[in-house]
Amino acid sequence: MKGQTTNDLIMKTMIQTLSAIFLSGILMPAMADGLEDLKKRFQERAQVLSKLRADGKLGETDVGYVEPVKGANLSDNETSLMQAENRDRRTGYTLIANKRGISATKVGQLSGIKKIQSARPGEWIKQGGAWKRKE
Amino acid sequence: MKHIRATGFAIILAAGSLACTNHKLDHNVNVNEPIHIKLDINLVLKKEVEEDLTDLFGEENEGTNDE
Repeated sequence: MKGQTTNDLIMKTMIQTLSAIFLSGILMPAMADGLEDLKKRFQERAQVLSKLRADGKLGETDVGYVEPVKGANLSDNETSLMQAENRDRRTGYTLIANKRGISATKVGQLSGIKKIQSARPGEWIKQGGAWKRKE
Repeated sequence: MKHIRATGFAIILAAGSLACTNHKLDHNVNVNEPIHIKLDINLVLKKEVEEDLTDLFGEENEGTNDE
């Protein structure tokens, strides 16, 4: 009876281990695919976003997201594009945050600094809640 | 008498050596303040996150003001 219980325990542990290996084999490539999809979508949107920034419709913020510049009227398509960009950025920041053991907010702030540094002169940037043109 | 002098000399040498060692230890503690160590770790982490961001956004993140 006792031997049967031990065998059950060994079988249970083996099943759990094999399940974990099987799931990680499925999930890890899926996560990698997710990251590659994110990168691809960022690349696809880059040109349109760049134009919207140059036109003064969108601006980079110090929290790592794009927002409509004060008084700018965005079309439905432009609003959808902005929302999709911010949604993907949030996903990307969360992936990096989990990998590095810090908060997604902190990753967003670091990204915001980089984005603002990369902004062209004349583009709108939002720092500390206030909009201003990059010099 | 010679023994007493030699012992005294040895004690003075040992005390001097100990004083120098203590002084050196104190000096090291003052130079290596913990704040410098913490800052280095944060800088490494910041650099790693920035590299992750560059990888995530690709050229779009780095090259917007290159034209």
